[in-house]
Amino acid sequence: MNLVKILGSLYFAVFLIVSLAAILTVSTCLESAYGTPFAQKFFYQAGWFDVFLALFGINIFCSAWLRFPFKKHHIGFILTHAGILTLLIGALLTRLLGIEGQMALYEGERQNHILQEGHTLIIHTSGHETHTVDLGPRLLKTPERFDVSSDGRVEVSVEQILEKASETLEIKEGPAQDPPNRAVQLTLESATVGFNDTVWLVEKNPWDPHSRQLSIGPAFIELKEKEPPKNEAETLAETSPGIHISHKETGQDAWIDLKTIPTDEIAIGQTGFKISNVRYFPDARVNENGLVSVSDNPSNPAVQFEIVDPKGGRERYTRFALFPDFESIHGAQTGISSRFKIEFNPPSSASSTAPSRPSLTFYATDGKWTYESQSSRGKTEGELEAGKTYATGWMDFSFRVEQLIDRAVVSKKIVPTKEKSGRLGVEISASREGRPLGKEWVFEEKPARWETPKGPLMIALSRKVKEVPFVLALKDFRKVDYPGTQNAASFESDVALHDPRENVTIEKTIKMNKPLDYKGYRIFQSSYIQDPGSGEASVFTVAKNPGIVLVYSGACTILTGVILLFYLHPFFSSVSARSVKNDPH
Amino acid sequence: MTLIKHKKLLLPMMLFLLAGIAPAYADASSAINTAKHIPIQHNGRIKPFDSFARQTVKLITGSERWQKKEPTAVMLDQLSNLEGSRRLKWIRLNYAELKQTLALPPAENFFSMEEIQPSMNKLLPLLRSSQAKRDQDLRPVKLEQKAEFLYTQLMTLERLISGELATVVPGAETPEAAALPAEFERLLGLYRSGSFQEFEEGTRAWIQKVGPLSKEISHAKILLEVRYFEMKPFEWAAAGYLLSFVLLLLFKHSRLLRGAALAALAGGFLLHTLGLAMRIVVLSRPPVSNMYESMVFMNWVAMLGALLFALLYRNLPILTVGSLASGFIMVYGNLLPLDSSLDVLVPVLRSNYWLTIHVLTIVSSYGAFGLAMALGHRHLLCAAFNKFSESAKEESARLIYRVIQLGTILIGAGTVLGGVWANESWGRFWGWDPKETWALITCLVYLAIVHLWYSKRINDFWLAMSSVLCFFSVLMTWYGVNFVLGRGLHSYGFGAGGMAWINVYLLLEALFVLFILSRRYAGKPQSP
Repeated sequence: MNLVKILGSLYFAVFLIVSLAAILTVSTCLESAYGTPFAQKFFYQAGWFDVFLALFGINIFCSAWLRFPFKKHHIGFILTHAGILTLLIGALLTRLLGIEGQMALYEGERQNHILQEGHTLIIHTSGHETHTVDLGPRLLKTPERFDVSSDGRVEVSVEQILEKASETLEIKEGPAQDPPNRAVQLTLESATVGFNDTVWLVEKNPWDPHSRQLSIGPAFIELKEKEPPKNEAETLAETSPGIHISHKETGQDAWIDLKTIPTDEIAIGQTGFKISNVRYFPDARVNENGLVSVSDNPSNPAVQFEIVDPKGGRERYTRFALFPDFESIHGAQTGISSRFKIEFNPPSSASSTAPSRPSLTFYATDGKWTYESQSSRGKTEGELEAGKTYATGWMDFSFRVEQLIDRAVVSKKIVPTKEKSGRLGVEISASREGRPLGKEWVFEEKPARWETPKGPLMIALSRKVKEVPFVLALKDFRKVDYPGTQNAASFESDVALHDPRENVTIEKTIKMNKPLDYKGYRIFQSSYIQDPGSGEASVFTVAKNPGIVLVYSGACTILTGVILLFYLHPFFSSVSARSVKNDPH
Repeated sequence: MTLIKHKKLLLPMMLFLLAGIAPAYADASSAINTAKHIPIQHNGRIKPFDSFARQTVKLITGSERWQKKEPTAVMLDQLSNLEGSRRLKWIRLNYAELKQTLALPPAENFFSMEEIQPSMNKLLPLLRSSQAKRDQDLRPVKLEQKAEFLYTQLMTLERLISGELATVVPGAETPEAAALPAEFERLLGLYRSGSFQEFEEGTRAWIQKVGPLSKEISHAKILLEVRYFEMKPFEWAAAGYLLSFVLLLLFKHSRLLRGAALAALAGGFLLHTLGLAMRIVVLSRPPVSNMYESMVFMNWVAMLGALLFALLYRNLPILTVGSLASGFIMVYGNLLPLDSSLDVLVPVLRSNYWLTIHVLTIVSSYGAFGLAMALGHRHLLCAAFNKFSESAKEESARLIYRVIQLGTILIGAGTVLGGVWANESWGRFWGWDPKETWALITCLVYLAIVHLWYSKRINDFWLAMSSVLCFFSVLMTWYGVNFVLGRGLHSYGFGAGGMAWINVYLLLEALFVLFILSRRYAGKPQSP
């Protein structure tokens, strides 16, 4: 009883109020200094913070308890404090059972899953066994080991997690017996535009197909071998660009022409399998929203599509022309694609640069380095020597040759970074039957893969995916600008929501502040992606907020209570509030 | 049908009004007056030439008037001689360190574009490093911020010269519209050659001709906006408030002067209301979407609160305090480098019911807390100099408590409404965003006071003292989150500056508190 008195006392209430205010002051200041994730991790999402908020609930509950049995003049007090309790419980409910995630849809695309905060590791062992490890919003303590095959023979361990990792390349001269792989390091400088940057051009870099090219403003820099002109017959012999998919068991197939990509689903013969959401990226790059194309030059062609099995299960499949081994599988892990043979003929990448563009080309032929610079003022060429500075002819740009390497060995180092481009990286080591397979860094776009005698082991990192009980299709996306500007005044999406279980279809336009409600889920227009390479995509926030009714009713109760307490008190009590002696409130 | 009829009536009416304000005799000032009403599409909105000129001239020269000329005159001078504006020394740059970095003469504060151009190679690295910092979520140093601003000035001027900054023919789609700019060039030529009468006639014809080209053009709104800037309603309101304060303070006992004071106050409040109403009509949105507007609105609520409480409690001092506080905040607010231009909103802030109520409620609570703060000052001063009778003291404390109560309800409700809006807009009621967290902190500290006073744990002195001290949390919520912490979702109108003035306020407040405390505890022996 004594404890209840203390917990329900006014002093405790004021203590809690003042300390919460103090804690929040500290947390917002730290957020300003160290960023939002820091404050979320150590304050708002931390366990002790929940305990602190629970103390509020206890204080309010006890102070009400102490007034029992209630009298008429308590009504304002009771309503106010019951309202706060309801609100806190509602917040707790949302915290425990709420769902929030993002769904990005290109026009014509459909999806039934959302991406949530946090990441999972997807581990495929041979025999179509799949395990997922939730890295959680609070990242794993590393290193952490776990068995992933049912017979305990495959062991995977997370060695290191970097929330913001970036790669740096280390390029060194290799031993003399290595095959030639030229590399040149340059410092480009221009006083007028204040440019000064050191860059590498490498013939073969296993991680970057563009390592021999570089674009700086309007100029194009390239390292290449002098080659004989291509004969015409060779060009003609190239097959027309497209994707060929054939079913391994029946041999039935489908052909998709990249010039006229169909928007509907395409049947693969009579197999009952279908292809849908085909997208082609001439110059693919991976960014946080998936693949995008950065230009129309076919310098890194990739295709992405979904294979739909007769039961409606889908699997997304991505194929890069330059990296045929680099298969990545997202979505439901049913392994549908393993039943098909997929061939991708990319368009030829002839004439990738316009001739009018200023360019700088480096040639390494038989151990001799030369350069050629093309600009509006004409062509300059000459031999190259490390340590010397040359003029380019475009503006006042000049370059200094830092290093010339004939047998470059490119190695990659993963380092923590503060740049925005930094992304989550996980270092994994794996072993099978006690035999170590090695260590590798895994990124969202780059899974790790080991060949073992018992089949491949693949580990991929993916945003946490959650299935929702409906399929959302984007039919049209529109952005309206303020007159005469590129600034959006509003944007909206025409969508069709289909629930296969209930067989319900809803068609609606979702706008900013005008969400679509379905079975407790709310779908909001949150942003958009406009990208010349692959069209328009609309980004939705999908949220389920089960505690919101309690929060709203709690808020209304508080308001009613406060008004009773502050302004209508005299009607409920014969004595004025200030003269109630023993009432701690 | 009725709409069309109405519109047909509107145009002649407007022209009549236009004729009214621009008398028939033709000199430069009358011509300029007419030119103010030319519709211009700028920053996503159709506005009068006058507003466009004000905004642009202020950005480039640091003040709306340049060499004592009206903004419209300055802009017409420049538009009719675009190449000359490259050579004109009118770009304001008064930050010594940047001038030094760019190797510009340190004694001058205004430069021409041609003078700055050779230093571009020194400016660009600053911009790059500042962008790199922004990419890493760091704040650029002052030199880099000033460099960014200078770059904005240069870009604005460049776009003005190239004709991209503003469009004289809004929504030009018809061939007829495309032919018009030549006509505008002719007008500028007339202006340059000093044929003001022809220029004025041409301008009138132009305004008539452009009107029907876009649905967005409303002559009534343009006229209203020009009037708004001419009238300076908020400056006059502040003057009225301060006058009424002086009269109420000095001549409390003269019925006549007290009447005059109340008249000044009422006049000020009417102008204040009118100014807000004009902004609402011109922009078709509530007047609370940037710092400047929220300052003006907060102030209006404080004054409204003072008037209501004065009527309710038959208490004159609250008007004295209220008029001082309102006048003071208005004058002080105008010292801050706040953007008072009328601009459009980002999509998420547009036309939302909940947002409007949320922001109005929150800003109203600032008004209430501001009034409580002012009353707190009065209470502490009167108590320190023993000017209080026991009953007056009790009355004053009760008033402070009542105002705090109102503020607490408003900020509590406003914060919850913000959650409702967030939930309706992106499905998250609460996310510990700095602005909402600070609103909660403010709500909590005032709640603590309400609890303590309600249960008689603090006396009138500490009630008044905390009403003064807790206003710091209001300032932090209102201004500090955007300008000091500089993070979070509510940072739509980011900018820096004005810190010096806020620091002056904090310093004065600290001195005041020290003085009161020393007088209470050190000045005289403590009474039991």
